Amino acid sequence: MDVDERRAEEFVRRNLVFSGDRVGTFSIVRVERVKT
Amino acid sequence: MSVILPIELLKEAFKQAQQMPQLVGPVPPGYSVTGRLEPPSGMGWVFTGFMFGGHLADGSSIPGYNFATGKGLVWKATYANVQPLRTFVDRTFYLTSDYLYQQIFYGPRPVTKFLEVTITNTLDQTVYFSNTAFVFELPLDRIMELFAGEGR
Repeated sequence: MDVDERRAEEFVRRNLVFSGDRVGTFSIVRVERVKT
Repeated sequence: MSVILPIELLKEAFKQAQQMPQLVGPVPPGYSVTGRLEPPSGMGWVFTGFMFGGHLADGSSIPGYNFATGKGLVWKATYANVQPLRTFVDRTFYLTSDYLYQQIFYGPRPVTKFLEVTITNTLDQTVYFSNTAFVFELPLDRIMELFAGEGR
């Protein structure tokens, strides 16, 4: 994972909201750059 | 598109309160984000539908996936199961306007281990992606009974 991917993952983690905390456990597995 | 649940599953679904967990998070342009949802210990899920939405930072709705430009959101899910149920890797959903902002009935798909979802954003801006699931929760052994024979 490069610096940009690490920053992107941090950005996603900080801003993610999950309404189902009583339903199950949510975790981010990976954030990757893709070819566009 | 709609789905009719098998009668045994329908009875079970009516007995259980259907839950609609929702996940909202940013997907930066040119990135894919993979998340994993695990049921509580000793329990499993049956998914019967999803709802997808996406907004830009200014609140405007994103357009549906455009095959001509290759721009939009792409969604893929893996329904991981303990034996003897099989792990099901779903086809790729290109989120065209047919799929955005409405309930998509499909499945039913059991999850006894975890649900893993990957969303890829090929648009030029960060998309705040919303994914609502329609699901009911059951003890693991009950799911094994209901889906017996679908494993092998």
